[in-house]
Amino acid sequence: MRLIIIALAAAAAAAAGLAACGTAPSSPAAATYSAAPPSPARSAAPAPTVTKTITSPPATPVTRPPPATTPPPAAAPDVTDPWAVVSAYYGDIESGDYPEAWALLSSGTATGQTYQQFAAGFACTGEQQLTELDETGDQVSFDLTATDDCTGANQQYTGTDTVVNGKIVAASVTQTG
Amino acid sequence: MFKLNRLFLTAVAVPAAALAAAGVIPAPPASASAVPVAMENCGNGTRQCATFKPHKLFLLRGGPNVWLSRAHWSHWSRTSARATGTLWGADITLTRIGSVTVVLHDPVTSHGVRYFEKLHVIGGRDVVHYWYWSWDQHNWS
Repeated sequence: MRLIIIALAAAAAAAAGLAACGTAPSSPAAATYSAAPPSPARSAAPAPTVTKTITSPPATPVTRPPPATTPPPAAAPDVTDPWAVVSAYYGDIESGDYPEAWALLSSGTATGQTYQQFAAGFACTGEQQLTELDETGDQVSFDLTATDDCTGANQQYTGTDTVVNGKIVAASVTQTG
Repeated sequence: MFKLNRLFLTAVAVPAAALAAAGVIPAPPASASAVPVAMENCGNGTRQCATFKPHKLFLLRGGPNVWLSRAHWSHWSRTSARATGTLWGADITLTRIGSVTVVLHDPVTSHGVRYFEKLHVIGGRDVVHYWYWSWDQHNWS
């Protein structure tokens, strides 16, 4: 397990690397989605300055053909709610909609990856379960359980993403099991 | 006409009474012959957007989140629009609700915007299938 300490822009790339080994669950929804039950009120506290500790999962062999290399869309969705952005990001990953996921990362080229590298990183993507823990200001914390389809291993992570102007600008993700 | 997928309509979220009180004159109503747009909440609070053939359409955002992803629009006319895609929900957990067809219909003009007022979700489980756009809630409801 490699421990990498990086800041802001590069952290988003680490989040992408983590997501490379996971997809969201396909089990039936437990709740009925409607406009009626609002979520708990969100805190409006400002996001702190971020220096992130990123624990990246071990590299896994690529056994699937590389995904399509469709270029990222020109315009990203303008969303600012952190949980909406982060959940949409992981939903895009599970859907194989890598251009949309890429578009939710701030300054994608500053992550140190090209889009093709980003998309190819999901070759071992398996099931994943994403659960929100807390949302404060521009930050949302979550638990993520991801299955690596190449190894069959389940891995648990906890993380906090910072979202500014509808983009993930920083990610702190640590493997916990 | 619709080279941009997204038109930001923050101003139209302001109630007409507030506009009048502030001395702001709203834009003239959109023509009834105009191709309607779809509305969605595009961020925190009262911000809302008009979209045309979006790749991703949020039905709810800001509390529980529900959105259509990978939308493929088979048509978008003056009377209705139809897309297939995957419906996602994220309240506490992220859930793939399922593959669905979404039909936008009943175009109306309000707040100076010609838009589809109703949305029908066909397919999917544990999700409300009939929605309407609410300017008050800044979301589909």
